[in-house]
This record gives sequence, C-alpha cells and structure tokens, in this order.
Amino acid sequence: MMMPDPQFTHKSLLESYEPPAGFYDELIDSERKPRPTWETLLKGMDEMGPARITQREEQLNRIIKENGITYNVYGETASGHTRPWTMDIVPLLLEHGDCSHLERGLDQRARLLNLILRDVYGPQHLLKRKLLPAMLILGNPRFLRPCHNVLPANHRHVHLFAADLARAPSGDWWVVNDRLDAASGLGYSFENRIISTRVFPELFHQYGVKRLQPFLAQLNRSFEKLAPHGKAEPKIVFLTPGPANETYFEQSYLARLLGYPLVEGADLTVRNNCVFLKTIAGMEQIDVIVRRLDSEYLDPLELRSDSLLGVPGLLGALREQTVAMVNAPGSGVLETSALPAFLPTICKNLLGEELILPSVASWWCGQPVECRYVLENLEKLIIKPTFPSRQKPNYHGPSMSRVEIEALRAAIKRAPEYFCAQETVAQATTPVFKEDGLSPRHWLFRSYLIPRDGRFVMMPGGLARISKGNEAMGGISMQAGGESKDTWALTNPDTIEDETATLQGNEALVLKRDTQNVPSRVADNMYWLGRNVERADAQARILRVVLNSISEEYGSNYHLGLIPIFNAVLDEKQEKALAAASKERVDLKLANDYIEHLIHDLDSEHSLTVSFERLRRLSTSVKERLSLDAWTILSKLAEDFEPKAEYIYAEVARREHIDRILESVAGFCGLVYENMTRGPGWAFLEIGRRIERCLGLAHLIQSALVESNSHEESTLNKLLDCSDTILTYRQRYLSSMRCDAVLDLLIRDESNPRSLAFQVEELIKHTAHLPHQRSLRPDEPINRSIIGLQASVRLLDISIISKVDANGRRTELENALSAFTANAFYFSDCLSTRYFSVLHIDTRAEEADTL
Amino acid sequence: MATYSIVHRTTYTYLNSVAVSHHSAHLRPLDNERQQCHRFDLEVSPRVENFAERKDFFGNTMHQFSIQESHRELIVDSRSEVTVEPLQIELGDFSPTCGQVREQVRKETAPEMLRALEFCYSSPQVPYVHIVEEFAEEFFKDDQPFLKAAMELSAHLYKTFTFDPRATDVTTPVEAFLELRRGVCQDFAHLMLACLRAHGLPGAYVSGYILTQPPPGQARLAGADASHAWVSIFLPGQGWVDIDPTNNLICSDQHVTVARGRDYSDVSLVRGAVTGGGSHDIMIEVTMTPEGEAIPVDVPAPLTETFIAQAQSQSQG
Repeated sequence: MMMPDPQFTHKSLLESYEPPAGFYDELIDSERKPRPTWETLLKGMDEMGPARITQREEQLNRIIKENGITYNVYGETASGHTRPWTMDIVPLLLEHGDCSHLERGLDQRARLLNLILRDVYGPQHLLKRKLLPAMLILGNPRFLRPCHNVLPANHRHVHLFAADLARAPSGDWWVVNDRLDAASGLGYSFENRIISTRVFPELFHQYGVKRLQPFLAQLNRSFEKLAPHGKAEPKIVFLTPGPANETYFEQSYLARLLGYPLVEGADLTVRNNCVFLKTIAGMEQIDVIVRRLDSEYLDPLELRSDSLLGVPGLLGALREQTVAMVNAPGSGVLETSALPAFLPTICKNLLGEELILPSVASWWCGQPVECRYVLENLEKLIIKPTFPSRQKPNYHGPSMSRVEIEALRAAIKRAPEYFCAQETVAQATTPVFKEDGLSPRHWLFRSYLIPRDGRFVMMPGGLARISKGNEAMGGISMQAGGESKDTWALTNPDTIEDETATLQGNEALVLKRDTQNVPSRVADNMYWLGRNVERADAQARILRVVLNSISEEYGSNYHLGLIPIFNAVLDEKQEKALAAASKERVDLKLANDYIEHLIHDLDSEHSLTVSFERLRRLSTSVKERLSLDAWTILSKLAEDFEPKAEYIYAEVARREHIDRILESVAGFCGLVYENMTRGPGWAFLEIGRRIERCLGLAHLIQSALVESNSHEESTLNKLLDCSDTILTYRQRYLSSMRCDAVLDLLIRDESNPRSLAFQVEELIKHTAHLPHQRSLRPDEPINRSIIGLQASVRLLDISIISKVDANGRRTELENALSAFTANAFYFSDCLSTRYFSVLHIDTRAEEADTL
Repeated sequence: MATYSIVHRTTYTYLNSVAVSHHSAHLRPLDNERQQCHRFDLEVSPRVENFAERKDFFGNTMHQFSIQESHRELIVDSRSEVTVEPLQIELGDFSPTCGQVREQVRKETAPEMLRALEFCYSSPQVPYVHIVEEFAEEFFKDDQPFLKAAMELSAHLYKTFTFDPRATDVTTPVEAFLELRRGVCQDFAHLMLACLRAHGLPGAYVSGYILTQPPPGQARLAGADASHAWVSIFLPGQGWVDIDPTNNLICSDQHVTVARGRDYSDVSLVRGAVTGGGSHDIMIEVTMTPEGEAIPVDVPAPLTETFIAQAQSQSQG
C-alpha cells in the first residue's frame, strides 16, 4: 500500500491544467471533469505528488541514458551526433472502445492499400478507370517501374502497416499519414513500454493494460510465414541503412527483439538469384528480408544506381521468389499526400464498403475544382507537396505572411499537380508532466498492424508523439524535437482477458548459443575496433612518458634519452626538426606543438582526436555486440575530445587528459574481458588488439634502439615505461639498464603480456578458434603466416640483435624487427582475405559445395 | 524501306579484377509498326550465369545476367538485322496544337493517352527545372501546332548548341548542359525532353542507332559509329513522331530504335553493379551497314570461343 503523501494535492495537478479551447482533451471533458478512464491515473499521480513524480521522471531519464536509447538528428549525424530519446512520463490511455474501432478501420485501410499496391504494380485498372489520377502514379518519383510485376498477381504487398492518427474535436479519429515503405517507431514503442512499466508499475497493474509480448510473437510468426515454399525455420534478416540513419538505435533494438541479425546491404550478396548473408563461416541463404531501407536504395542494378546501401540483383531474387520482403519494394508510392482524397471512392469500388476511418480532409490541386477551392482558401490550409521529400517543405497557411501566400499561390498555379492541401486539424490534447504539474500537448499516435488470418490486427499500443511546445499540427516531429509517450491500450472491462498466462506458460524456449555466423562486416569492424583501441593506448602511453620526462627530468641531460621514444610517434620531417633544434635540451616549444598535434589535430590521421572519432564510429556500428558499458566508455572518450574552442592546455591538464584516456582504455578492455561472450566477435577484437600491439611495439623498439645513443640508459628506461614493464625489469635485474635484458623482456619473454612473443602466442590461440580453422590444411596462407610470425620471434638470438656495429647501429635488430613486421602484416592480410572480403568467401563457399 | 546489319560491341576493362558482377542490358532493337528485328544475337565474355530475357515496364526487351568468376575484362557483343520503313505521317502544320495535346492526354481515357501521359512528368534525369521552362516558354504556346513547335525547338538547339563529346558525361544534369551549350546526343535529348515536359507535353527518350555516311570516296569503317539518342513526341490521333535534335531532323528509315523510356536511366544500354574492379574504361564500337553494302572486313569477329548467351528471335512478319 502506498502511504498517503503528507502534502496530498489531489486538486493541484488538475487545477493548473488548462487545455486550449476548441480541441478535444483526453484528460478532461468540456466541463473540466476528468474522463472516467483517466481517474485512476490522476488519483495515482496525485497521491504520489509532484515531488515523487519528478523522482520517477529522473528514473525514466536514467533508464534512457543507461540503455543508450538515442535518436540521430539529420545534419548532425555526419559527426556522429545522437540525441537521447525523449519520453514523457504520463502514458496515453486508449480505451477498449477506441482500440476496437481503430482496429476495424485500420484493418480495412491496410487491406485497401494492399489492393491498391497490387493494382498499381500490376494491371493498373485504377488508372485506366480513372479512379486514381494517373499522374499520382506515373508522375510519382516513388513509383518504381522495375518493381512492376515483381510479385506474382495475388501476393500480398503489405506485411507491416503503420498509420498516424489524430483525434478531432468531436472525439472522432482521423488518419493523418499512411506509412508503408519502411515505417519507423516500432522499436521505440517496445522500448517505451519497458520504461513505463518500470517507472509506473503500480498504475500499470491497476489498469488492465494489454501486453505487447503476444504481438511480438505474432510479428515473428507472420514474418516466418512469408518464407518462400513454406520453408520451416526460415532465415530472416533485418536490413538497415546503417548507423547514420535517424532511427538506427531502434532498428538494432527491434532486430534484437525479433531475434534477426541486423545487416547492411554490403552484408548480402545475390548468387544464382538467391540472397546470401556473408558470414565469417561462409554464405548463408536468406529467406525473408525485413527492411528499413527505403525501396529506392534496394538494388543499384535496377533502382538508384548511386545507392551504396543496397544489394545488386535483389529485385531479380524477388522476381524469382527465392526471397520475400517486408514490405514489397515500391510501397512508398502510396505515401503521396494526394491519395487520401481518392480513398473513399476506391474503397467503395475495390471492397464494396464505405471507408471506416476518414483521412484528414484533403484536396489535390491537379483537379480544377479542388485547385480553385485551395487557391481561395490558402490562408486556412496546410499545403503539402504531392510527392513529399525531405527537401520539400509543408506550408502552414494560417502562419504565413501575405507575401509568402502570394508566392505559394504562384507556385501552385504554375504546377498545380504537384500540390495538395489538407485541412488544418484541431488535434486533440493530452497531459504531459512538466515542471511540477500537468500541461496539455497536441498529440499524434502511430499504430502498427500486421496480417493474420486474412485481416490485419493492430498492435495493442503504439508510439504516441507530442508537440514540442503548445503549438498545434505540423509541430509534431521527432526531428523537430518532439517527445514520445507510451500508449496503454486498456482491456475491455466487461470481459476477462488474460493474455499473460498464455504467453508465459505455453511457449517453449529454445536454448541458444552464439552462432559462428557473424557477418563478415561485423568481424571486420571488430578487428579494427581492437586495432584502434590498442593504437590509442600505445600512443597515449608514449605521450605520457614524454610529458613526464619533460616535466621531471628537464634539468639534466638525462631527458635527452626521450628523443628516440618521441620519434616513434613523429613523422620524418618532425623527427629531423626536433633533432636539429634539440642539441643541449629538447626544444620545448617544438615538443609541445607536436604533442598538441598528436592529441588534437583534426587533419592528422595519427592524432588521438581522430582515433577516438574512428573508435566511436566503429563501436557504434557493432554496438549491439558490445556491452552497453563498454560502448559508453568509448563514446564518452570521443565526446571528451570533441574539438574545443581553446586548444591550449596547461601541462597538468594535458597529463590528466592522457591519464583519463589510459583509464578509459583499460576500463574498456576490462569490461570486454569480463563481459563479452567468447564468440568470433571477441576473437576478432582480440586479434586486432594483438596485431596492433605487435606492430606498435616493434616500431617503438626500432625507433628507440636501432640507432644507439649516448643517453641509452634513459631511453631503455622510457622504453620499459611505455610498455609498463619497469617493475618486472627491476625485480629481475635490480637497477642496471642493459639493452640485451630489455630486448629479451620485450621480445622473447612469453610471460610478459607486453612482449612480442606473448602477442604471437595469443594470436595463435585466437586464430585456432575461428570458423573452419580445424578443417584447414597446414599450408593455408593464414596458417603459414602465423607460423612465420612465431618463428620470427622464437628464432631470434638476443646476443646478436643487441650488438651495435661500427656505425653505431643495431643492424641485426633492425632486420629482425622488419622481418617480424612484414610477417605481422602478411598475417593481417591473410585474415582479411579469409574472413572479411567477399572474394575469398565466394571461393570458399564453392569449395564447401564440393566437400 | 531499309535493312541494316548492326554490330555493337561494348568492352569494359577494369583496373583490378572484378569478383562478381550483375548486369542488365537494353540492346535488342524493338519491333514496332515501322521496324522489325529479324535476327538478334547477344554474346558475352566471360561466361555468364543466370541469363534471362524479359520485357521491361516500357515493353523493351531487357537481358539480365551475372558473372561470378573473377575477371578484368567484359565484352558484350550484340548483332542484329533490322528493317525500318520510312515515316509515312502527314507532317503539315495541321497537327494538334500544344494546348490540345496538353488537354487530350490528361482528359481522354484511351490506352494510348495513358501511355503518353507517362512521358509528361519528371524522371530521374529529366527533372523539372525552372530555367528550362523559361528557356522553352516561347515555343509551346497553346495555339502553336505541337509538331511545328517541337521542330522549331529542335532547330533552335541545333543552331545554338554544339556537339562536343568531351564536354559532358552520362551524369551531366540538363541545367549544366543548358549553361555549357556543348554536349552529346544524350544531352540534346534530355534538354529537349525537359523543355517539353516543363510545358506539360509528352516526350519519350529513344536510344538506338543512326546511319552515318563515310566521307565521300572512302569505305565504311568498322566500329566508327556510336549508339545514338533522340526524342519521340506524341501527336494524339497520329501517334509518335521521332525528332533527332542533335541532327535537327525528323527520324525516318535511317534511325533504328533499340529502346524507349523516360530518359537514359530507363534504357541504358549496358548497366552493371560490380564488386571490386576499381576504375574502368569503356570502349564502344558500333558498325551499322545498309543491305547491299559490304560489311567492313575488320568488324570484330563473334565471340565463338567463349560462352555464348544466345537470345535469338524470329521475325514476326
């Protein structure tokens, strides 16, 4: 039982609630009385009081942050910016009566739109009979001619239908938009539900809110049924446009909920008119593609040839019916703003029924009478382009100036067919929790439907979106900064529905292990993630040693031993300049400039800032495979290094910065080590780190020791410091610094986790666990390369490589290190042709056939 | 009536090897009221897989195939024999006016009107461009006979624009051509279409071949011709009439039609999506020889030693 709040304020929440006149309000009626459905919610919130609701709100925001729920904002994504998802704490309540009315209406609408698509991409009777103006299809940039007749005559085009709904002042419903091509938001609505049940558990239970889980199961089943030839346990993938898309987060979330691999176009390939997923274990045939990629980009061979996101030959595979697609390609043709004006007539003709759910009143200016009406009423209407696109704006008549109206009038007169008008709708309001009270916002509700037994069933819930401020229609867009809400569809109070029992009791769970079938692209990204993490770490270590030496040893000659170490991160020009300027002392100004560049230079491939940006991109593209904490560490690292106005750092601040980098990298590696499943993803990440450490350390040793110098003891010391092995050395050799002892520790000692030998042993271990390794012949390139790498360490004679010749050089060391480096690169190449590139996978798939 | 033998070879040379490629081709000359393709062979090297022939949305013959073996060179070789009859349409000033055409294609329900309407709207390479609309303003007044107006525009393009194979490429937008005033047949065709459509008039893009005459006293050279492109306009009641703005003439029996679409992107001769390959060079050799004249001796020989994907078709008449 909840304790009554001492400051019980039943009235205050409602008292300050002032919905604008002329709109339907969900919470209160025209006499300001709470509607019966909302009483429980209002009472519950009043009992909690604003202070506790605010606490719950904070909890809500914390969950969003912790779960990494984001939304990409176009124009900002280039630099990788995401905005946290925004959700209001008060759910939208949908009464049972509303739900069943909407479901009837939307089922009819989905069936109707499916028939229209079938006709448009088939015989086109609607155009011939002039039920649909030909221009709306033939002049429509989203009518994709290569998709004509792609599906056999009686196939379904619509497998997932979404509609945006609003409520009129009368309380009746309107359809504002139809979404057919690649509707977004489904993932967010599941996520919102999880959050709302966590922040308002008591209220959720008091209302009989319909569960979403059964719908998810239906979604799975309906996609599985699409598999060609009724194949059992079909392979389904979720096709995404990639991390730059505005809703990438929810795509990866939804893919995980559904249990399908999230793939990009480049992960798929068409062979013999069948679609395959390229994985590190070979090619896997795909039966169903659930796509969020817009139709236009699906196949560069037949559709937009500049698409880098699609799969060449995909339409051919669809034509041959070796694969099914949700939704059929080209469905976006019906997202024209002009369609609603013609739906009532088409509905009567195709279904023999009246349209149940009206659209917002619309006019297409391609018809003379309608056009005249629109031109006479411009200042009252919303004017939309007939074929919407991101570049073309909507015009909101009531808020336009005279001059703007006249310009618009001229534009419409010039090309009337390209304009539509829509009534400005008095969209209903619903309460949101803002600053200790409830305040009204206009809202829009996106509903999702899927086919089941010949009709469409509605998701018991959906995505409610609310306007940013108090402004009406047109202002509701997640791009423009609107918020979302969970939608609670309430069960019929007169009947007992208990869907939870059937769900939890009856469905047997299949125990699963990670498959070997990681897409090649993911393996590639993991490998590079590993390499970049290690590269940043190594560079930060060297910079720390340089900074320490400058601040602590600058008084004596001893610090000159840092130059060969510093050289490891400098280019040839910088190296020469530094040597020339640093005779008695290291030139501080130059050194500081270089350090600054190595940390912040946006134009340098080698700067830490650029590395972190690369890390953020890579980690985002494999985010669903990293633990959230691990991903968070990397994305924070990139944020810390975002270009700032002032680049001048005090020495202390710099060192702190470097320390923080090293801590973060250690944190990341620790989390990966503790939390990541030991599948192929982990193996590639580790291989990447080990290879990079091989290359980095070999380069550092080469830079430090090939040319002997007069401050070698200092250099050796710093070399050990960079590799974090000073303590080990001291334990073994007390304090004298000797080149041969250092080389043994850094090259040959297999027990030192920072030695070359240790990296090689790790590489051997991880490589052995990669797919197909066991069946590989010993003379396969990848196996030969790793044996070569091992030999180039094991066969070294420390006494020979530590010798200095007459010219003051360790030529043998130089040769040994360059042989080792060449072997490491060769191994990396073998790995990449074997597991990452298309080429190799092809031949391997053919080999597999003959086995 | 004229009969031609046409050899059309496209050779792609890639810098790096191509792992896998998918292609589509519009190479088979159309059969229509004035034109018959008696024989057509399509040969490809290297070996192709999944060879398929189908009709595209516009009724053109389309071939699709993929190459799944690593290769550095792709040769697509098509050979056809085509008979074309001269245009027998009355070309007087009494063709319908621009105003009538605009109204008829939008109002009437006859199937050919619906087909014509398709070609009144923007398409990927012929978008609506305001300056193009203004450029063509004076030609397409309501009371102007449509054919006469179109010929005047063609003459204007011919006079004020220069044929220049180096000025543009296949992706040059119409407004850039309008600015440059130099380009190839494809640019002339796209600009003329943009003018027609900006004024609500139906115009189709035609790809095909044109008979060229060797310089006086010289023999026809093998591979010296190129593929060509022009425009087709719709005259209600009379049908489609082809106009070649690059040469400023009405097409008769010296033009052979391969495919018709809204613009180049609908009917590109050979299109491909390749994995790997790096940069590439394309060489196109077309030899069009009228019946009765000897085919030049150095026309490339058929690809007999490679896999041949044959797409022969029988003459209907």
